Amino acid sequence: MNEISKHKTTQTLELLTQIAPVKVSPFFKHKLMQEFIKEAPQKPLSFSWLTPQFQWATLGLVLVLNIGTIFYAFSGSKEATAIALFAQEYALQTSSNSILN
Amino acid sequence: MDEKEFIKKLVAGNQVAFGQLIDAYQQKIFGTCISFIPNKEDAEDVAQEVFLEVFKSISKFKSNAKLSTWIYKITTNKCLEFIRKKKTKKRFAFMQTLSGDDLPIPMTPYFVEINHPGILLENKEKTALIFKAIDTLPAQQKVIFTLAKIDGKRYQEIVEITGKSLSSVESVLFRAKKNLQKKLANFYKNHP
Repeated sequence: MNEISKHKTTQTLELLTQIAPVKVSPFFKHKLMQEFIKEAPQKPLSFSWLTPQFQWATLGLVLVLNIGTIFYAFSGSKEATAIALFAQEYALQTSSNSILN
Repeated sequence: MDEKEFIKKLVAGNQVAFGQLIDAYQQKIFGTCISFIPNKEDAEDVAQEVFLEVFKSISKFKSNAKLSTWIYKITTNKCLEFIRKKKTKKRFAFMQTLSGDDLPIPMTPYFVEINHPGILLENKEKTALIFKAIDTLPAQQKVIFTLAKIDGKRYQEIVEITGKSLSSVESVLFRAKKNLQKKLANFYKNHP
């Protein structure tokens, strides 16, 4: 390597020490926060457990309970009426609303 | 705030924590990016990608390492990825010398337009030459030389970022410097 080349090489490499630090743009943080807000996951709602599946299941359960209750109620009233008729037929009722004894 | 607490907040997507992260690291990350990519706009774009990657991957961060080291590793990888993508867009023809894989400094335009406010105008051409020469170094030499001599990182920081031993870093740096001297000397011999 001749002297001139060596000298130029040394001078050129020394330029690296002369690179001044560069400040980041003042809008850098603002731009980045905008990106962050776009990409951040949505904050979960207070009633996040109340999913559509949960709602359908609850509705189904309420319907089943209502239908069951109605069936039970009707079947029960038939029995009560039959018992009352039977008791009346055979004068087994102890209380009576009649003014006649 | 304890680093573990801070990381928990980042994992939870806490906006304030992310803002604090940017405040603490924006200048350092940008400084590293512009050391690899001597173009202010490109360096800022890459720095943004670094922060977004940190945000996306923070749940994978293993707390046995330092947060700063992990962030610098991401920065280095993003810079190298940017350079690789830019170069595949430009078509270069490298001529290999008879001596083997010693790549000369390519005379085609540099793959990024040098737009570095820290470089004086009169030095721009010669500095572009150095960056071109650095780009022809093997990847390890390129990274370690850039972190040490342009970004101004301490050897211990480079050890943590690269995962190499101190003696290995010193040895790679020495070889990088020798390679650059050889390339520049050849260039000046052929272009007096």
